[in-house]
Amino acid sequence: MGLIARIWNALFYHRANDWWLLPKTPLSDPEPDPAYEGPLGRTTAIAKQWLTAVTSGDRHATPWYYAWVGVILAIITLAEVWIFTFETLGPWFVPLLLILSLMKFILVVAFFMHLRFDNKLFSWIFGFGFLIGVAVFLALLALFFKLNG
Amino acid sequence: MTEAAHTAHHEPVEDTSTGLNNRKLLMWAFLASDVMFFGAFIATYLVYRNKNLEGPYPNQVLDIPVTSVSTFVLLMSSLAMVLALDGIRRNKKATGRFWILSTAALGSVFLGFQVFEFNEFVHLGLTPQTNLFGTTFYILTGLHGTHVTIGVIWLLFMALVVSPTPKERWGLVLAVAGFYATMLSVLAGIFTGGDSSLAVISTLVGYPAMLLLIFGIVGIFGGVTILAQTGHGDQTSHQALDLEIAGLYWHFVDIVWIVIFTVIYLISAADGMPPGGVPFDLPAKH
Repeated sequence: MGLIARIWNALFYHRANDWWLLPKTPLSDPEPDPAYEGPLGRTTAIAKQWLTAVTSGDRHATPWYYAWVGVILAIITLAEVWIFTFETLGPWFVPLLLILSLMKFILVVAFFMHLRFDNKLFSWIFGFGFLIGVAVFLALLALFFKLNG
Repeated sequence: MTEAAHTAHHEPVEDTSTGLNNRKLLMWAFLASDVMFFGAFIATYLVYRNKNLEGPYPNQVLDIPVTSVSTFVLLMSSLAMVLALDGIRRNKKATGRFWILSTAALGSVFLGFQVFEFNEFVHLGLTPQTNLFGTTFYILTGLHGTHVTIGVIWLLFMALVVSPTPKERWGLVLAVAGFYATMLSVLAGIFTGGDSSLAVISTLVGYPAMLLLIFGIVGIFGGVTILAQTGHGDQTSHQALDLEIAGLYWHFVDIVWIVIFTVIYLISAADGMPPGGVPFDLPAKH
């Protein structure tokens, strides 16, 4: 094992649970590593369980579930229009609207287009195209502003 | 939400190298390419934002309340689409078909809003040739409208596919014809006095428009009644994949509009005359 790999493993890996543990537990220690050991404790496990329950995991949802997603989309659109009426938001105006727009985008793609439940290959294909699209978008903007000052 | 509240979904393993359906995979690849397509046009709009020196300017023409309603309509069409797929998957044909037609109807209403908006803008002096704002705006929203139109035609075709018997097809034709007759008469009512740029709408005034409205409402009720009575107990889950692919396209059209609504309407709505621009007076309200 190379030096860099050994340093990397020493810093970020532990023999149990894939958690980094400082200081390193000696191998002779008779006590097993506690569950959910790590800087965030059980928080991530609970968050993951909650997310799976709320987003119905790998199953298709019921019509009521879709209706709730529709209601959330409508509320976000209402919030966007409400934010639009404020003139005092200044520099927060554009980022706020973009974040709300992104939330709607994710809700539609994840639940209505079923990427949350479907094969991961579809997510990778769409994600790849999306990233190239964003890159083209940013490159065009950067090129124009560089040329025009 | 309980386990029982959900329907287990098992995708059939296809005899392909990926184990996935090739048509669905192709649709996702197409949508990924369409992201780049729209990304380029949205970037072009932003590049030329606030660069036109001649009016009308965005703050003089963009109508946020109207576009908010049309955005809501398109979002709800996405909800109707996913409910249609759910119905077809569960072999509930009448329910699935009702939601397919609702999706097409909401998409058509969105297009009606676009016709109304474009008509208003032309009357206010904004055409694709007027200035940079007009060119980039009409190209982007026009291309999106074209996508929506293709989606509506595709959905109507899907409604035809799930209605194989003559009685169902008569009901379908009656409902669709009734809906578009109603929509045309409503547009004619909005553009009172032959104010529309579209000749077919401007000639529809007075009694012809009223007769069209009556025919439309009767057609919708008659068609929907016939459709509601037919197709119970039919197996439709084998058509789910066809509808799912159409649905992916429809939802994509929706997410593109989510971005357009934010970037072009909400963010740009306050854009006025840039430094060095020529003041523009809007024509008197028609």
